[in-house]
Amino acid sequence: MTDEVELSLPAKPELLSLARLTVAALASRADFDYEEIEDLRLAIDELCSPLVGQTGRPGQLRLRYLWDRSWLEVSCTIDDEPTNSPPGRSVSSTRPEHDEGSLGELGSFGSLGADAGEQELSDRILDALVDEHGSKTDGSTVQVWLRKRRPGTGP
Amino acid sequence: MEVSFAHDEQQGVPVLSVGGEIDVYTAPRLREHLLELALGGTNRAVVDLTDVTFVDSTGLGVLVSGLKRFREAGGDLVLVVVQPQILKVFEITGLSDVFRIHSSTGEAVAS
Repeated sequence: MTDEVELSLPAKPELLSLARLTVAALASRADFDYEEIEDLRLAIDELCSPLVGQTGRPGQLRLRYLWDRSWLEVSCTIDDEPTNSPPGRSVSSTRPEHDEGSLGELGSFGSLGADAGEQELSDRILDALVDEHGSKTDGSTVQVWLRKRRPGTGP
Repeated sequence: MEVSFAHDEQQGVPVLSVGGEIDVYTAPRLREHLLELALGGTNRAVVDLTDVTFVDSTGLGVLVSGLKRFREAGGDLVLVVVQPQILKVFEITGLSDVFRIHSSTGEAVAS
């Protein structure tokens, strides 16, 4: 049986902490340990921040938290307002623009490569912290999601 | 949940202490404080993240931008990280190989 919590909040960056709080509360009840709860807090932030951006956007961010005996899954949806952004890149275009440049200018940057930016950092974080994550765009609706296996359940 | 900043100096080295959560909402304030450090006339500074409870890729990006600015000036921006979950974020992104990270402000200042 799957339980579900829905959270709807304005797509404002100052409110993303609510998404983090909610996943932490649910994860603690799903027997995730402290480290895994912190992982999920960060993962949900990395998942939703690009949809909101630094200045926010019109509309509501809708999160669905689902869990069953094996998985905790969170999906986040926003109805993308028509903008001048290129089709299919509305999520990534909300990344704040500042002087991040190429991290490769710092010299050796380990496994991230010479041109890693914030999006690559975010992808790297999600890859490390959850079992699955993805995104899809359906018309003006952008959906991102993640799944993490519950403790004590094998692959 | 908010972020806090305090500027200090130890052994002639500027120290910026940060507390709270660094995310897409609070990262611009961190950027402002790092810029203040950079414009302070020194090319070496310490950012103490001991009391930071959360940092995401936006916060990391701001720190990297600050690091670039200091290194381009021939200096460095050294971090203090104590909380395991914060250190973990630097490690999984590879930034623990980019920043010099210490477990105390004393070590960071003396490095």
